[in-house]
Amino acid sequence: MAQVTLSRITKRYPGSDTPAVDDVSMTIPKGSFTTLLGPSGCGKSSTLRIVAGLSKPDFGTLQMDGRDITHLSAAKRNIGMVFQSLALFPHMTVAQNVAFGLEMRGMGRSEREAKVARALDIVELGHLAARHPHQLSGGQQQRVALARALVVEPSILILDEPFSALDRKLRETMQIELYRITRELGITAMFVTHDQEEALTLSDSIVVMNQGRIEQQGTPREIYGAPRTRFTAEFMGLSNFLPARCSSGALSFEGLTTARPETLEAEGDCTVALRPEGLSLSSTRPEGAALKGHLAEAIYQGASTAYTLDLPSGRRITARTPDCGLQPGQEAWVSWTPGALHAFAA
Amino acid sequence: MALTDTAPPPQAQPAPRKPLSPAWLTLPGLCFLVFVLLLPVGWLMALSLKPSMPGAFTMEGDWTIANYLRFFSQPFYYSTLIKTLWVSALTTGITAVLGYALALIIWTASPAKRGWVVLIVLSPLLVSIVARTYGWMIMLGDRGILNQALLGLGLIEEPIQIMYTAGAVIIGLVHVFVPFMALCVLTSLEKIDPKVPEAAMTFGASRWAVLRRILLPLTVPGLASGLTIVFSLSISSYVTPALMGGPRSGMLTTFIYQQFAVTLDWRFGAVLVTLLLALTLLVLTSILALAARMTAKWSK
Ligand SMILES: Nc1ncnc2c1ncn2[C@@H]1O[C@H](COP(=O)(O)OP(=O)(O)O)[C@@H](O)[C@H]1O
Ligand SMILES: [Mg+2]
Repeated sequence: MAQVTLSRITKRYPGSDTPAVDDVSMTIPKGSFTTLLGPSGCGKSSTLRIVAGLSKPDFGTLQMDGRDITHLSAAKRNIGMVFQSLALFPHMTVAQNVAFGLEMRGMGRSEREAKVARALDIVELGHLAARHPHQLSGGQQQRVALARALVVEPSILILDEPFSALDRKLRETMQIELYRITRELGITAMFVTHDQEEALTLSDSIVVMNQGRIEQQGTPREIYGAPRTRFTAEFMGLSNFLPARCSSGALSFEGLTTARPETLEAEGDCTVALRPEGLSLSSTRPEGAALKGHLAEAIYQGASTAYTLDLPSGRRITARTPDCGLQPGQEAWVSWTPGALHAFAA
Repeated sequence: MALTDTAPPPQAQPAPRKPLSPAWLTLPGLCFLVFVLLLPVGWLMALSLKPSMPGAFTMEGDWTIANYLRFFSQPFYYSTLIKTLWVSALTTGITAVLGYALALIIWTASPAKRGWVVLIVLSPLLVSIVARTYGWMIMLGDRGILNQALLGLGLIEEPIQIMYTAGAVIIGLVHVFVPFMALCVLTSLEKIDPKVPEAAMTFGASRWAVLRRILLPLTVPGLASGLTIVFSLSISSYVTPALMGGPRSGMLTTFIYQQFAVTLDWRFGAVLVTLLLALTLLVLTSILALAARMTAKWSK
């Protein structure tokens, strides 16, 4: 296991005006599971490929345990990589696939076989060792790819959206397994996904990326609970953005003044976001901060109902709460739990 | 009730016609093949079993294998078979190495450069075979550009004979056949997920290991079609051996030509044709069977 540090990594593909990776710096501590999270095309794979040594940065350096590896070839970095397309070797059996990395390291046959058997046991595939990849289901192929990457005891395990091709149920099972395996073995991992839930489930640390740049990094709690930009907030499922002003002790929006959240760093113009799931509605004025509006729509969605409320300013907010019996056309008050309100620089 | 009475009686459906098997679509092609290939070749094979008689093109005479005995009892005759075989094998081998390298270059070239590389690779096919062959004669002759250059540099004392040797034939053939090989291998390379060799690299494989352990096994199908195409083209080539190997090239095809056009001994010539065909089929089926065995486990 190793600590990996990216310093000011920048990569621009030929023929493109904007860099795919723009001045990215981060540290992946030893034994930590770090996730790059962002929409498709934001430069996650490009960053991973640079860490893996499959592509060279135009600028910036890469260190592993303090050693500069910027110019070291992929073959010498001691990484274990799981590709989005899995990239299993189609002409080799499951056991040969898993053994490949050990063979390239010159390990003797008996030691190799013991390690392969153990790795296949970890992913519960021992009974399929003699099959070829095309004879396996999607989930089984996934496990082979994972075993192949784990067996070499990599300094860092790199996974590029490994579960995106799986159906929801299988994906959740694999996430739990990956969590268990990486924590049991104390693996340093760098994971890429565009799925915020997956990132929150698996990670010790999340790096939110947008257009090649790092938007915010922190623990899942920090990223989810205190997004610092509108982009991160939106990516973490926040909506109901309202313009606001903040001063030394107070935050005001939609004619309401409340206490200023501790996490807010801005002064002057800022934006407030309200998590739809944290809002509740009532026909009478509740205690504490609340906004009054006109109920425009109520859409029943089973566990919750989505209410759309027109505010006097003309802006709309959506609340998702258990059905509260209010009908469209009525006046209603909306209030929120403390964790549902976020504010950040506009 | 009235409604049912006046309703038209259900029309008797015509018995559904049994659809013709799609195999019938091959009929025109099969007819063509029978008339232009199987009939003439069969006729020649039959002719090879009639007593040798210059000027006789018809089937009269008793059945005999005397022509075959004559061929295998004379070193002058059967050595052509051996020479044809090794020249073709060597041509195929060299073409395979060069063609594979070119295919790799095309495969890894950026899309912008790719068109140009393909054009360069295909260039030998853009020139007529005769012009191309004379071009090589200018290059390789005793007073050719290559010898002049080597003499000028003082590397040799007197011209080396390249033209009218097996070497010249091989050079001439390889030059034309490389594009076929490259395109066959490329077809197989294109089917490989580019992440597969990358994955191998991340697991510590050197470039050589990626080639040997990943790319070569995965391109066996393309390699096999390239080898069969190039081998059959080499063994049956006539113009290049005739022009670059000289009148005594010692290749089976030039020998066949002499039998049919010069000595007019069609019946002995038919022996050569039959042997050439048998040998080609033997080599091709071996290559294809071997390739099928190597890929049976994983190719879908
Ligand atoms: N090999 C490449 N050549 C040119 N542009 C590329 C290449 N790979 C990625 N890009 C571009 O770089 C940007 C980032 O891509 P990528 O890192 O794959 O994003 P992500 O993995 O976050 O979806 C995209 O705009 C993409 O089109
Ligand atoms: Mg990607």
